[in-house]
Amino acid sequence: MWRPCGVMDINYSQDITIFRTGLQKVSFLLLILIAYICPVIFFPENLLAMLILMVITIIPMQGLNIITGFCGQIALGQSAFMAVGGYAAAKLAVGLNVPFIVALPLSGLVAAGIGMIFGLPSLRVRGFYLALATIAAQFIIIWGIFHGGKFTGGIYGLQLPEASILGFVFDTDVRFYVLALTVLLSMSFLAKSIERSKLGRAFIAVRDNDLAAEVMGINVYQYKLLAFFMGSFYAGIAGALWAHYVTVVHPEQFSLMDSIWYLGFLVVGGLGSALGPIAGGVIFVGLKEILATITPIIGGMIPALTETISASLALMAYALVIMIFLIFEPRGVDHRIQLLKTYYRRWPFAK
Amino acid sequence: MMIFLETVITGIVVGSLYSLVALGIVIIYKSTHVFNFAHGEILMLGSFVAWTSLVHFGIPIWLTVPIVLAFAILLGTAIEYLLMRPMVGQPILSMIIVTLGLGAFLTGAGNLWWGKEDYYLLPEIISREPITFAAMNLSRQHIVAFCLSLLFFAVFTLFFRYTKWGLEMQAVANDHQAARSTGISTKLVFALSWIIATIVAIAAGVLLGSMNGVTLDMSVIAIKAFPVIILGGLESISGVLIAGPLVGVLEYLAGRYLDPYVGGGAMDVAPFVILILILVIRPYGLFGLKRIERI
Amino acid sequence: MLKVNNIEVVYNEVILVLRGVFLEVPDGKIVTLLGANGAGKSTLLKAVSGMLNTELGEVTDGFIEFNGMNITNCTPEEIVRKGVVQVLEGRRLFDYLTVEQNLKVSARARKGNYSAKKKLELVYELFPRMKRLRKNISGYCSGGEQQMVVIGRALMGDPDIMLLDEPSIGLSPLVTEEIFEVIKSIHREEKIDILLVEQNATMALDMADYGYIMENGRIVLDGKAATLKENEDIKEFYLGLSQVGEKKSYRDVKHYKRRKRWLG
Repeated sequence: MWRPCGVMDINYSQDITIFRTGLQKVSFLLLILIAYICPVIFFPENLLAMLILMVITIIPMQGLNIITGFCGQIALGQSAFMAVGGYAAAKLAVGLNVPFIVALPLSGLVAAGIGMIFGLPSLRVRGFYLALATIAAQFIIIWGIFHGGKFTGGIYGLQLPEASILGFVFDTDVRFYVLALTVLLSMSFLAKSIERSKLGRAFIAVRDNDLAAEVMGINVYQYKLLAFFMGSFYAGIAGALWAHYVTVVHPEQFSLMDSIWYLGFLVVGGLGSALGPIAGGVIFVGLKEILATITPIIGGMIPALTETISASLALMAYALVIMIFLIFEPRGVDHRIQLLKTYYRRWPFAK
Repeated sequence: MMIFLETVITGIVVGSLYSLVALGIVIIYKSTHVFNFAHGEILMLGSFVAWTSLVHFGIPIWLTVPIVLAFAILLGTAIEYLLMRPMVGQPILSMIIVTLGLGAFLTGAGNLWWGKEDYYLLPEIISREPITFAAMNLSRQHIVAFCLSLLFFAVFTLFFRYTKWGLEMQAVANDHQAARSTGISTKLVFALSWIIATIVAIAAGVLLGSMNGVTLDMSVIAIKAFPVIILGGLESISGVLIAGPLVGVLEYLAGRYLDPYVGGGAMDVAPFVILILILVIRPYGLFGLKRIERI
Repeated sequence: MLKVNNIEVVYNEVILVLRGVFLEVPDGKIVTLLGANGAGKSTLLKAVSGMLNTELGEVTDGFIEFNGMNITNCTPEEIVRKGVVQVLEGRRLFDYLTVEQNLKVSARARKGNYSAKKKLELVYELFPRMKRLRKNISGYCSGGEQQMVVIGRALMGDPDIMLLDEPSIGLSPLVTEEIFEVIKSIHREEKIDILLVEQNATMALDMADYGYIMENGRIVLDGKAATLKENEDIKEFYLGLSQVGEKKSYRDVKHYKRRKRWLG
């Protein structure tokens, strides 16, 4: 966050504080206030729906940021873990009548447990091997849901009610937006806390060199599994939220492609920074929205492609954005922002 | 017993198709240390080009072969030049995402032109009439795939062991800098391996297309080839040759004997379960190279 | 004849590593380049062999000439074809290839009458031990054997000049001597000029005709190897032959002054 020249951290508690100056605190509070109030008052329904989708996209990307950005493990099964969270929420809400406020963290925990199991290969392999293992996880989980019979509803999926806390039902987009934003804020706080604590530093050590980390006395196995646990927890929470928002869970909502986009746009946003998932999620959903408006227009201009363009253009545009970022700015939007910030802080004394 | 034998033999021949697909990925990995997640999509796109040339434009087969070859060279070079060369020296994660992105892009491109129909039938290059062998029906395509994978295996084993280009490809993968210091042109080697892999992919794709028709989701076969690669060990051509039929057999056995217990579809998930098990039990496959680390 | 004329090398567009470096390797000579760690010796070799551009480095000023051809900022592939081969520091083998494959893959025809087979036999003649090891995976060879493979690999490129970067690194004195003998015989019999970077200054100066001393990215001293060996500073800083018994404090002052002159 922006900090004036000359404010230095001179002890540990200062180093780990989120807001170092009063101005930071005030501006952050203001930002939150705007985020809560503005959309609720001014935004039309369809824009609100986009914001909700953004929030639900950012959360699994934050989880992925813990696994990949901090701990350096590659996970290409994030949307399957979301599916686990969504189905857990459905089961808890319908079968067991667990209230939403309890069911939400519980479904996160279920996803976290499953995620940890599929994180097991990370103890033995890394890099491409791990990427393959997590792709396998994606297929196995979705297959399991498809073939789960009555328990998961198979290809028909499961229905679940709208979220409600103490009788207050989040049945409109406005209400749900407030709920989703609150969840996002608490998850962001959790992510930031992981980053600034011992846990985060251990993750970074494992990422940068797991052999050296082990020699330093970090229990690498434990931390790798913990990273998968937490990352999947985020996915589970997001999945549960999504399930309550659309009030139905279906295995086709959670595809390998989504997992790929989460990882890809996380890199676009910037790996290993708190801002990365947020920037990535905003770009991803923003792009989706833009494409949704312009594809019919392009399709109208080229009649030969009208039928196929909507599916194609989205795929190609996402892929292009990701590839261009990887080639020209592999450290993502976050890095650009940092450069800008440094530039303004030093202006006019340095280039 | 007869059922068992038939399942095994079907598994072997189907698995040899996996070997063929996996081979292309291994070739690229062997020489550039990039795991190409877009292999399936390259295969799909190449098959569509073959279909368009053969069926849509009615070009005879002897002319289609050079057209498809030219396409392979073009695509391979383009991927290497536009995507892989700027990425040299980037971490593995970037390599993974960039090839995944490439795959998505190619799927999109394929869908744009060929997305209207569900599948496109290739003409009968090889008769679809199955061969009856000892009361078992085997498709001719699968047998051709089996022979072709054997042939490719022989060719590429010799290529990597004895030819200068093959050795250069391995040297570059081994130590990029040292290879340059001895005067190996890495650019040429990278481009060459992408071209070769693309050709192998398209060969497998056309074969697959002549069985089930050319479809957009035929790229899924590459995902099924992943366990084969892992079981064989990423760098090993002979490993892939053996692992393909092995995975095929396991897949078909699972389909035959586990389906009643899990309610069908065991075949679809078996390869992935195998993959995870291998990674946990024997991470570097049957024939993979163990890292030589000197400290 | 290799001529490095007043070059300046910059890494990553900001870090200046070499400036105003001048160096010559005349035909038929062995030249050694000495200096502390980080003085820029390896960078200089890489600048000559073109390996800099794999590490984001660039020659920004001056030029490098080999037998009258300008090779500044050429790619390593082109430079190898012109007859300059570098042996990288740290025995960079192709670990998974056998010894013979390591040699074969580096064969490069420069002249019309080149024959990879003959070259291979010649390398085996120079290193009899390698012939026995030729089917072994090179990654599992011992350090000395690996160094020989690397030198043999450079020979396969049929060079006119060989740039050797610390061939004795991590090797026992006995093996080092063996390596140096081989380098000498390569020079004598194959008529290959040598530019040698070494930490073992005594041995390097014994073998070389001419020597250059580098400090902080510059050449600070050069001269005939025999003259350098007699130089007081070299004796003290590189050969470890300072007088014993003198008063410590006084010597330290002198040391400091001399050191300062060098660094200036």
